Amino acid sequence: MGRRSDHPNFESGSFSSKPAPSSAAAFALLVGTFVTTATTTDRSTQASIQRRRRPGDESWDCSHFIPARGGRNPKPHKHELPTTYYHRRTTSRTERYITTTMATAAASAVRPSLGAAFKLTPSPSSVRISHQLVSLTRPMSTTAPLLKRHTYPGARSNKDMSKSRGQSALRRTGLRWRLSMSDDPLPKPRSREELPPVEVDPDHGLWDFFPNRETVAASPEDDMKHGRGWMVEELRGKSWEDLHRLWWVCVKERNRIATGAWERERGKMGFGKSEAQGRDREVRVTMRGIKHVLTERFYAWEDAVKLAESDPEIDLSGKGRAFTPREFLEEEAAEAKVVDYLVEEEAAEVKAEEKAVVPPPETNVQGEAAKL
Amino acid sequence: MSSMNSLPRIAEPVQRWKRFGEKQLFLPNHVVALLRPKPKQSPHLATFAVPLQFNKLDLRDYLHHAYGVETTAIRSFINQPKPERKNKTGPWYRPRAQKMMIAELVKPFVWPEPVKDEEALKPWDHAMYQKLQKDRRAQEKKQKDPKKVPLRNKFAVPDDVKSVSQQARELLRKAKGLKVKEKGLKVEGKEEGEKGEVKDE
Repeated sequence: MGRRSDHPNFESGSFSSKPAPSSAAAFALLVGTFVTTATTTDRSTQASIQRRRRPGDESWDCSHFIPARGGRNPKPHKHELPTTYYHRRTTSRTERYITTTMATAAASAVRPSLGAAFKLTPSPSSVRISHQLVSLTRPMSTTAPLLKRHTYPGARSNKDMSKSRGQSALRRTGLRWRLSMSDDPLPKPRSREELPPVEVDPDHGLWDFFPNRETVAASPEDDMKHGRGWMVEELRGKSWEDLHRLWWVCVKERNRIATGAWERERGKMGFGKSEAQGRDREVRVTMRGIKHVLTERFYAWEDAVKLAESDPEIDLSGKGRAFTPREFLEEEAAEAKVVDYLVEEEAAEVKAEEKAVVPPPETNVQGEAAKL
Repeated sequence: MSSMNSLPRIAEPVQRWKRFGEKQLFLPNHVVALLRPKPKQSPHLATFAVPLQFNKLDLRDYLHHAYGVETTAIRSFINQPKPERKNKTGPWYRPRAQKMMIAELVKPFVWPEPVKDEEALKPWDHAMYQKLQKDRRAQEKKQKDPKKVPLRNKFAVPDDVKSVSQQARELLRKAKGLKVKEKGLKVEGKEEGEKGEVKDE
């Protein structure tokens, strides 16, 4: 913006509250004279007029946007001062023109003189006339609001795309718009002490993680109270149900040991690592034994399947009975055959003995002589 | 009880899981540890240290089937340890990470207070443990800070070294025929105050 004195209107005559013969002429005069009076008055008056805008001034009053400030210094922070941005554009174009031109020149001078201006032009008809006046003055102006923006088809919209501009949590600016629940009191959280103590179920599943319900971690002495793990020989005779149950006992015991170890180390309770590790080792011995036995059974089953493939009594097709023993008579016959075979064998042996018992005497003597 | 009535009622958490995993695992070999919660943590949260291959669904099913603990939700994270080196000069490596899971419980669970009493901590030999820890920390600090390591000439000289050096000095003086100081060692059988004799005070 150029200097105010450059403006041709600024060089018009002095301020006169007298209504001019025509309201149009009067408005033209007013527009020119406000600032002139402000600029030409002596310094003391100017200083008194040029006070800072405060939230109390009704045209600037946007305090409902801003949280109340208490304390020793109620003066609002500079960021809390409302700007023209906060205003909805309810004013007419003429008013805006006047305020923008005036406010920058001598902000304080605008308000009283504006009041005078609107006193002079209260009727809608006069507003209309003032509008014409503005258009008359336009060619002479070099101020920014009057400059026609260079627009072209497809030009970018000039509006502010940032919906939350000027809002800052750090500066406590508050929201730009009033919310429906702005004045609703928020519920206050209760402190933990006020709440009743939580009742823990004595049968809660998580107790199973603790070796000791009072101290959580088991003492080294308690950790040492264990025997050896189950040996493979002892586990061979156990059923799958037993082994499975024992496995889960081991899993839970290991979890218990781990929980105790975490608690002992995090709580810096003291020694006991090696005792816990020793206990854990024995549990793992048992688990290894269980896996060993199950592996053995698996191998035995594999071998049995191989055998069954060549067994005529077993049907592996999965249809009908898997095991069909032969007929009873067949079995008997087989037995009888075996008996016959044995009898024949015996007879053969007897014959062979007879032959051996009666050897040629010479050879026998020779044999004896050789022995001697 | 009247004070309890005036308090706001907190809705009991409801288990949201409708289905559990269908794959049957007969011999799981995982170690799951329950960890003490942070001081202000809700009693409806339980922290677990789980194997790295565990996922949220695993823990949920594990707690349900093995411990009968119902959960509404599970959060998980991994604690990545800092890189270390073996024996201070060896190659750098990263120790194995630890997976943690926080389960939201249907039934609240409050841990017993941590044991702080010295008498109650006796089974763990807490006093000796603390002393060792303190010494170790002091030693580490000393080693890390070069300013704290005293110079060679600032070391305290042991008494035996002092006395030997003193005797050597006096012997040398005697060999040169110089006067030995009164402070020296006293040799038995010699008269006191005789010149050139070693005296012991």
